[in-house]
This record gives sequence, C-alpha cells and structure tokens, in this order.
Amino acid sequence: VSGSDQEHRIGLEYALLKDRYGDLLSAADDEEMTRRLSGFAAAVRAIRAYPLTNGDTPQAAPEANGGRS
Amino acid sequence: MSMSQREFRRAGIAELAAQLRSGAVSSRELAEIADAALREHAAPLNAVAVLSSKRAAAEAAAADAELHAGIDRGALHGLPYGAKDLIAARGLPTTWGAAPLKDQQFADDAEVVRRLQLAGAVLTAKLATVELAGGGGYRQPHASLQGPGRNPWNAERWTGGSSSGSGAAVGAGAVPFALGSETWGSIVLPAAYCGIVGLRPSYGLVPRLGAMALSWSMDKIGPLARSVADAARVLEVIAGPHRDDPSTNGSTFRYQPQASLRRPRFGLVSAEIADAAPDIGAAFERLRSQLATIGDVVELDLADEPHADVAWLIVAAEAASAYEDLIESGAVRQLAAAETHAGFYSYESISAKDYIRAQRVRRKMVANVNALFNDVDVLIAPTSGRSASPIHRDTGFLGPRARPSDLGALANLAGMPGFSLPIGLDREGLPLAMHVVAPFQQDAYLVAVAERIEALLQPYAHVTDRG
Repeated sequence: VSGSDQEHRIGLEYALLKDRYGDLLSAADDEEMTRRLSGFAAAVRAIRAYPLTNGDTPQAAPEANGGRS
Repeated sequence: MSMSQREFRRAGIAELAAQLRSGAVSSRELAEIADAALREHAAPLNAVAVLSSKRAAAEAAAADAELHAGIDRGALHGLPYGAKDLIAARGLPTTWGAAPLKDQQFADDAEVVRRLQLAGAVLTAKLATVELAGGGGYRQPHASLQGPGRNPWNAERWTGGSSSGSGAAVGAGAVPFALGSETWGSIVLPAAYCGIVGLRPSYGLVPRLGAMALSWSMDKIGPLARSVADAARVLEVIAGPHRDDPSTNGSTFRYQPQASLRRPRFGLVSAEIADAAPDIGAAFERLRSQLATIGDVVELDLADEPHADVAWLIVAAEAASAYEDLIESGAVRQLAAAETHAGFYSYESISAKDYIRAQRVRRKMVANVNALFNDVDVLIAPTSGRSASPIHRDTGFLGPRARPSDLGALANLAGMPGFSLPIGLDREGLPLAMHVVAPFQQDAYLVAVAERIEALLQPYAHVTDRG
C-alpha cells in the first residue's frame, strides 16, 4: 500500500467515524485521530503479513457448544 | 498501639498474622494503623480512591471476635488490604477511575472481594486506577480521577499503570497487599516501578465477576504484595472457578511454601535486556551470575512476530465493545486524558475480519512461545526497560509499538502467569525489576521458582530505609 493510498484510506475511515459520531468528534481530535488510525493501519499491515492458512483456525467458540468451554 | 506504624509498614503477611495471633495487636488496631498510613503515605500520592473506614471497622471487629472464639480463617484473617477501584465493593463507590462514573456503585461485592472477606481480610480502601484501566490508550500519568499516580520512591515519578494506587499503597507500606488487574502490564508495571512484588495469574484462574471488563480475552485479577509468599497467599484465596464466570477454567491454586524443585532452566530474553537502560543491564549481569548458582541460564530471543500489534488490536476491539455505552453516549469525553477521547472512537475502525485475524495470529504465536518451554522452564526479561518515568512525561504507552516489553505483550496474549520481582535500585534510587513468566496454568511452579529467585535477591529495598 503506497503512502498516499494509506492516507486516503485513513481519511475515509475518519470520515465514516465523523459521520457516525458527529458532534462528539471535534477539530481538536483531528491530529490524535489521524495518529491512532495510522497506528492501527500499521498494526493491521503487520498481522496481514503474518502467514496464515485456512486451517489456522481461531479458538473454538464455547457459545457454539452449548456455552460449555 | 502495640505495633508502630513503621513496623506495620515493613511487615509481611506472616509477621502480621503472627502478631495478631499472639495478641500483640488486634485486627481493629491493624485496620486503624492502615487507615492512618493510607492517609499519611498513600493519599498524598493520589493512590486512594476512597477509604472504607466504616466497613473496615466492622470487618476487623468480626475478625477479632472470631479469633477470640477460636475461629481462624487462615493467613489473611484480620489483615487489612486495598482493592483497585475497578473491583466492586458493596457500600462504596466503584468509579473505574473515570469522571463520568464518579458516583457509580454496585450492590454486591466482586467475587474476589467476597472471597477475601470469607478469608477474614479487612477492606480498608479502594485504590486509584488509571481511568478505565487505560483502555483508551493514554500518554499522561494524570489520566485518572485521582490525578497522576505518584511514586512512593519519588513523588515526581510515575507509579506505572493501570493498578497505580495498588502499586503506590503497597510500595508505601500503607497496606500489606492489594488487588490489581492486568490486561497488558497493569499489575507487573506498577509493581516494578513501586519496588514491590506483582503476580499476574494465568488467565481464567481468578474469577472476574464484579470487576470492570476491558478486554474479555485478556483481563486478569491478581495481587501486589511485599513478597512472593504474600502474593501467593492472596492468590490462594481468590483463585478457583466460578460457575457464572465462563473465563474460569476449573483450575485452582494451592500455595506450598518452598516447594521442592528440580534445578530450573532460566530463559533470559537477550534482546530485551540489551535494549534496557544501562542500570538495568548491569543489574541483569549480576542476576545472571546469581541465577547460575541455582539453575541453568539459557540466552534466547522471542520469535520476530507482531506481538504488540496483535495485543493492541485485540484490546482495542474488545474495549470498543466493553465501553460501547460510554463511547456512544459521548461520556468518554469527560475523561481526564484528552488523547483518550479520540482514541475510543478510533477503535471502531478495526474491522471484524482484522480482529478475527488477530485472534488467529495470536493462536500461532502462543504455540511458538509454548515451544520455547521445551528448552527452558521460565522466561525472564526486565519488567520495564526503564525505571519510573517523570510524572509529567509522556508515558509512551500509546500505540501498538510503544509498550515497554515484548515478553509482556506475548505473556498476556498467551494467558501466561508472571511475577515482577524487585532487583535493586538504579543510580537515582528508583526500583528496577525482572519479569518471570511460566507456562499457562503453571502458577504453582512459577511461585516455587520465584521464591528461589527471591531468596537470592532479598532483603528488598524498602521506602522506609531512606529514613
């Protein structure tokens, strides 16, 4: 992902959050929000680069076993 | 009183229990000494959320009456303690350290408080926590309803978080032990910065009913205390399954003092020691020689994997759900640390797919760290690569790559138990610490190893040594 693509994506994510939370996000939050979204984007890139196969399953869900863990 | 406050501040559980049974001091007197010590030595550090003097008086009176009647509930009977203010206690506020919840109260005790009461312990205070246990990600030590957590060794230094009040109160000697909680570093770091012992139990060993949820798949409750034995005695009381807490997995814990042990194999995490401050590196040089007298020392490194990234994504996604009402209502905007406001909203950018992928990667990383235990019995690294930071400095705890210890991230992802043990002071007189991690559900083994290590290190420095 190029730097400009990444910035575009973060801008879209922020726009979605602003659309959802409206007045709860102010201009004062811009810098912090951009920093956080950039951090998550980097973290997501790191985990997407980690090799996984279809057989590498998440932990079994106790909810699907009558609630028994 | 028959016990001075100074004697009380240095005493461990066994000594207090012996004094109590000899009749030299009563539980009521211990509660009063603790109350005074909390006011004089912990409250000025912003460690006290609320004193529970009335409840403590009633519990201490009951403890005294039972001892006089020949009823002895064990090692903690009649002893004062404090609980992190995200653990519910009937009749007292439970604010989670957060301004929008400053009047919050719960009708029932948290299960761990109930178990301690059954063991005869006396709740003397709710202790400060970083707001919402730091769930929003915070840069400022002032991110708490009580203000910045000030360190008993130097009030211009931070306690660490999020069990900041528990670390400071025990470190100052105001209570012999306290309950804290850890999602990612919140027991071991305050223990390290405050010069005490912190025990993070295996995930699922201690029920969390009545405690604030931050991250269901990573939250643990555990003790901060003055010695390994004291922490183990507390764990023995609070551990064990509860039918209404599905995270508990049926495991229990029994403390066996000085349990027999074959020669341990210590796995020292080289990269984390090399990255630590020079004083910590020097302390580990000494430690390496000391450990070699009781076991085999193996140098190793953790796999080059995105441990902190995975931990951060999981905590953030789960926190977004745990705090949904606070986020949706805008109440998070009342929190003290401005950087957490946007932080909580940013969590919603994590997709379900990426959260699930993080959990799948987590599983593989746990398998990889488990494989290390074929060659070693415990993993060891500095609890933090630095001693306590200045009270006004950025904590550096914000963002997926900013946490102090890779072993800390991985151990919490894997639900592995860990001890933070003091290993001395740096040139500024601030405590340094080591983090000892054992395999999942090997809490008894961890305690046994930690006791061996502690015997090499004691006596620990104590704040009252400074005169």
